[in-house]
Amino acid sequence: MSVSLRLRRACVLRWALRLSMVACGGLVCPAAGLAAKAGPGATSGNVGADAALREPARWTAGDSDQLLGGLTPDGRDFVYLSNRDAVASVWSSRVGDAAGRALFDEGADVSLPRVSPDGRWLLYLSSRDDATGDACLRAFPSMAQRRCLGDGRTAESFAFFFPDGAHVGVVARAVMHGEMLLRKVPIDGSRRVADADIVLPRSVATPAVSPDGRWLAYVAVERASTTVGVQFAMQLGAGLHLRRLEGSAVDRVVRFELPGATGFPAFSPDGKWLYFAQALGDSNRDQVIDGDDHSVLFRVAFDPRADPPLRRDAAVQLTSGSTSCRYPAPGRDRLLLTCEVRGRLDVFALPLEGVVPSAWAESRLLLASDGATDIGTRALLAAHLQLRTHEPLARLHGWQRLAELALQRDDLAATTFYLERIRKVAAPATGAEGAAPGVAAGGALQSDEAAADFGAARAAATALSEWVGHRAETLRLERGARDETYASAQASRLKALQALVGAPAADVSIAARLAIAEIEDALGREERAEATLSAIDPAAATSALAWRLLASQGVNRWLALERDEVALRWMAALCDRDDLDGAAARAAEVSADPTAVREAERLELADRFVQRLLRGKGGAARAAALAAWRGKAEGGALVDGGVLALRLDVERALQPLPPALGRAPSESMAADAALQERVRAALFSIYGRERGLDRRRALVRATLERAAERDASHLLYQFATVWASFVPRSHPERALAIDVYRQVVLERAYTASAAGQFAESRGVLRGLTLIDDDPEVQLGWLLALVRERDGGGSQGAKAGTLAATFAARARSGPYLDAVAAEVSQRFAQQPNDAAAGLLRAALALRRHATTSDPTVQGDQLDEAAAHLDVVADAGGGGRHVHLLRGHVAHQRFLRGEGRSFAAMAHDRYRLALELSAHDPRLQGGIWHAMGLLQAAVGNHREALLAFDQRLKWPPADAAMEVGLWLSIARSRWHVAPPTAEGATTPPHEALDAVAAARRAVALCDGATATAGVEIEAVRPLLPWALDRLALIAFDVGLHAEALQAAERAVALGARGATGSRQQGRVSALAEANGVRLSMLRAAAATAIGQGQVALPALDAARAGLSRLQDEELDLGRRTSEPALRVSREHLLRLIDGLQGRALLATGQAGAAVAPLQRRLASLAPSDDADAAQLTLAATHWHLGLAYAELGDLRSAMRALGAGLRACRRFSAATGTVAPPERVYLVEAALALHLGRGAAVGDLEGQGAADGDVRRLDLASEADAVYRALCAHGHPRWAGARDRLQLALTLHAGHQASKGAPTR
Amino acid sequence: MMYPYDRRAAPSSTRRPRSIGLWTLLVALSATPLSACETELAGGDDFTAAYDDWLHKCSACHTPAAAKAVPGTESSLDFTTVETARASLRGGAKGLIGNFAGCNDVAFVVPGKPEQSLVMAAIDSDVRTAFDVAGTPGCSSDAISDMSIKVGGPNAAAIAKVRAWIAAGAP
Repeated sequence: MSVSLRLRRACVLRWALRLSMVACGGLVCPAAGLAAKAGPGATSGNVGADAALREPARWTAGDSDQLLGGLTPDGRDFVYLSNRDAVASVWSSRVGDAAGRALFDEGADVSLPRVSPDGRWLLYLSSRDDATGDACLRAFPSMAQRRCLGDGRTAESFAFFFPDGAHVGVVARAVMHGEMLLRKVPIDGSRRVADADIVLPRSVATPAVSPDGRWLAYVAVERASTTVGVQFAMQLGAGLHLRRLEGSAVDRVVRFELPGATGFPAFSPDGKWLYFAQALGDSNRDQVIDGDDHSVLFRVAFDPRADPPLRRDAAVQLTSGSTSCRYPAPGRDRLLLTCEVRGRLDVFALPLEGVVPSAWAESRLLLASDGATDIGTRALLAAHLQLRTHEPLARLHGWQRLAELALQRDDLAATTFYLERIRKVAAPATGAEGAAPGVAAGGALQSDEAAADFGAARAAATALSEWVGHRAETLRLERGARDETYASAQASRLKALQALVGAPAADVSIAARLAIAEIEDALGREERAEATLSAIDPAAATSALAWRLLASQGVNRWLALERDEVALRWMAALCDRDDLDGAAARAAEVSADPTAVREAERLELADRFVQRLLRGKGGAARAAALAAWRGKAEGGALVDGGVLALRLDVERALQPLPPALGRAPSESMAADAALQERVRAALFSIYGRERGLDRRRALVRATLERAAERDASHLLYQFATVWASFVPRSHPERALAIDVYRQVVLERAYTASAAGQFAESRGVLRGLTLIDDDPEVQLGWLLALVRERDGGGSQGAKAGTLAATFAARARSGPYLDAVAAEVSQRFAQQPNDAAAGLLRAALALRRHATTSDPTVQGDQLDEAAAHLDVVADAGGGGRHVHLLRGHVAHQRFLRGEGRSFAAMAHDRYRLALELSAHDPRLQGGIWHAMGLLQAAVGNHREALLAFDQRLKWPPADAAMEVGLWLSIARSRWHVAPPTAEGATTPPHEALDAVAAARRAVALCDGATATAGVEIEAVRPLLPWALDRLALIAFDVGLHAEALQAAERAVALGARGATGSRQQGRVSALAEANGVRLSMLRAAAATAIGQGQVALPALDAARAGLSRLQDEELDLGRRTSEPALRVSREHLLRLIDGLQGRALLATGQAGAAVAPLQRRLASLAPSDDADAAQLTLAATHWHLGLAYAELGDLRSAMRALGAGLRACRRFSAATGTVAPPERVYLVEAALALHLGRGAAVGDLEGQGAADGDVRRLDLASEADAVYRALCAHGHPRWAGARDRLQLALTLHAGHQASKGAPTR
Repeated sequence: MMYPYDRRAAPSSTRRPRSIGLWTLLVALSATPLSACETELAGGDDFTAAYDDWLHKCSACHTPAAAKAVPGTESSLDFTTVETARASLRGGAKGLIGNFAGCNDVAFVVPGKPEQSLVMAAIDSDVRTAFDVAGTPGCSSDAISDMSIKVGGPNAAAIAKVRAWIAAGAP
């Protein structure tokens, strides 16, 4: 089993974990695109839209923060703030398309964009002309007519439109230490902010006016210091202020029955709801609850006729506390909000009623809570249940539940708030009951038993308060509070708690002991902590609160004390306590008491038990531990048939599955089939005897998790199917059961495809398309159709490879028509479906990849873009759409349509990446595409960063892996420094490039050598891989390896090209490639002295070139294909040069003169670039050597002189005194002069003809070069330096002997 | 290429003729004569209607070629056309594996007895939950997968038509 499949299974595993979540809970899996638009229910085909908790749909994406989203009045677009261009600017996007555009360039930071009620104006705060803030307007959407409402006398910090659209509300201060007052400013500019009416004579934050204009909601801002202005030391006032703007201007201060601080009020367009954000706790631990803490959105019904117009106890929680969301902006049919995901802000959308469907009954909420695994979601559901609870005792239990959840997440402020509520509920007789409107205070207190319950609850709340107080003080200690104060405070707490230890109620005693143990431990008295914990008997827990405290806090305390065995014993004792309160009502699936300990919770604890039991144990130890604990059930120490026994049985049945890691690929599938079948039979037997949903869910969840970890496809499919078939349609878990089934089936398709079973993959995906609109499924089906018909050969084309492109083209045509026909038939009933548009776009791109005609390719790109526009119009804007849009722009760039397309492609790829956080398979593909894009642009370092990211994910198939390594090789080669002249080894960066190319070749060789499905896909890539290896190896100086690779590539190309000349364009590309390879081969052979090998290669290159038409040399320039991309003259010049050198190397100096002279003739007239001078110099050098071989010393010296003049021009232009060519020329001239008597004066030769009238003096030339080499000092030039020194000495002696002045 | 379940592409000759054969009529009459008569007199065909409405989706997996491609798929059913579907439902299940193998050889349709017909159990959760056919202990409700998770739905009207068709003797 390949790593890629295990990767995919990791995704399934996560889904399996979500099996019991009933909700995403924390935006960890941001839905996007078609699926997000349709909602989680719609993707499953046969479950209702309210079947599960809703996930906020992500509407923006990108590297930056996107926030403060607001819909335009027509609901088609939304504006928001983004800081992606370094400054914060206003952006706009179509609903459903995360790609947006900046509306204008303010040239400075802006904020708070708001569109007017009539849609004609955009209001925002600008810091362009006034760093303290200006409220400005622009016509919408043209962005013309910019004007600001301030005049420098005020600093504006908040602005919004009044409902009449003719005025804006502006919060501004006039002087530095002034109050932040709300003013009503006309937008026609008739009055400036400083002159406008003051609506409220006090500092306010985030005000909002109701749609009827009669009510103002705001949060008061108070001075934290009297000595400085509110701007410098502010604190938010408590509660939300409501002020009637007409008639009596009396503030109503509403303190919602919620912990924390209120902010960002916003009225719904119909004025019936007030939305706001609530920071429920001190999430950043700075001991202040404010806007910096995690925020949760709420809404409350607003009745302008009532007084007050809203109820403080009726706020409905809209988002989970697992994620921080703020800036509510309700539209007509949806709520926009800004949430923080992975440290960045983005705009999301939700139904107006939030993540919990309002239609859910208590029983439904309860079931959802049963399945939720994250505390934030449980707290959300508990809050919803509490809203619907009116009976005092039930409300008390509800507050207990909320307090316990707050304690679990260590939210001390929220815990304290809920404990206070318990105290108030528990004192009905005093008339202090503040909750349960409509229920008479104390009305339910009909018995002594109930009174005792309230008393115990109050005492337990006291114990918990001491506990929370201890944690708060510990936190302060960590922040620098004094030790002695801390110690004395804890002593007092211990004393208070000891008084509660003997209380008859289990809640009280257990809470007190747990608190004492924690305090003792914090004081460093571990033994006392252990002793206190040991005094607790888990079996003594008789209430839900006590059970949960023991199961979480108690077990955690034992684990913190590293007493795993005791923790396990506690968990075991608690697992089968089905006699706890509320248990009697469990005859039905839904208990009457929402706070009762339910079987699902006990199963969760059993799951935790098994995980802890097996942690760190190997196979045999695992089996022994499981057997030992299961034996306790048989011995009576555990409840036989209880939840722990069940969980142990399931785990024992799963144990034979071997770990996936470390298994050879061949060991996975067939070899495991029998084993998986045995495990399946054992599990199915257990499944059959368990009839309850909770218990079956526990079995299925454990099975799916383990099967996913261990690559057990058969088990995954079998149990995903039975589970989805079992969960009743009316059950809220149905949607997730089907989602899990869907994921498992998708995995099955991927597995089949990876194994080359394309028909199975296609068949499985075809079935899945019936129930799933997700683009992954639809595109997967399309790809499977293609692969089934082309046998997987198109994979190479996908990797962008030359040889694979040949192969794909050879097979292009009919099969794509068949695929198109199937797509048309599939969507015959819904031709305008977004999924249909997506598939047609993908099909057009597939055709683009399999055609050679640039015009047709352009048409295909246009067609794909048009289909993607249709998808966007249909509301599809998901990750796949962005990826395809990026691909279209990428191809346009490669076709030479402009660099702006590269930027566009990059943007789309980034968006796709952002939206693929939960889709590692797609992430890998996007990184690959981004790497190719960056490489095409020339940003090879950026490309390598992208490829590094790509390497974190396993390749989808061997062809793609080959393509990836070749791309890496190319980019490494580009960033590597050149190999130094004369160096014995290339730089390590260059060797890395060669290593990458070698890896690609090895992959091809390995796949070709192994019988299997990948042969067809990978074999065509071998020549291309060899070609790349030859090129890079030659360039870095590994000439022998380059020759070997080039010869292999030429041989493979010759076989593949047989009879291909008739295939037109395809063969032209092959021919061009053959020319290039032959030249490479000749160059490598010459470099290692094998001129006899080089000469026939050059003949082949010359012959191949003669067969190519001029236009064929440039093939690919507009189609993104590899090509020679140089003129015929250039190629012939190269061949001449190589031929001259090869002839020289084989002792055929006479024959070498002609090609070298041809080369010079073609070089001289046109090339005036600096590098061309060195080319000239080198050619003259070779020519000089040829003449010297022939004994024509005069011509030899003239050639060398011409070369030296070229070097002189190069030096004059670049300042480089001694390029290698000059060194060689001087050495050669000295050798001829000193060794063979050549006349120095012959160097002059063509000087006058070149316009260079300066004399060439060999001694001066040699001296200059010698001095440059001495100054350079690099050891690789030591030999040349020594030779020059010797030659200069000899030359001096020679001149002296002739009477000339010496140096 | 003709796509299997595209009913518009099916030649009209393959559609069920409006007048049913004598043998089929006799079988139907012997089972639930009034119902069959009523159906016939009304000119309707419950199974054809159910196929056109919903069951044609089953051809995504249940054709000879498709089933062959995906191991574990029931292999004897052929929903290429309404007639092949009708004919293949007269047999028993084949090719099921794993948790579902217990239903191999169990009859898809027991004429006149929808509650004992495997095809009903596969599309109707009430029938599936109570499914208990003598002599097939391995084919419990747990061993029958819910087809609606695979094709979407359920389609209550189509299920009712299949039920009526079986009750009428599965003509």
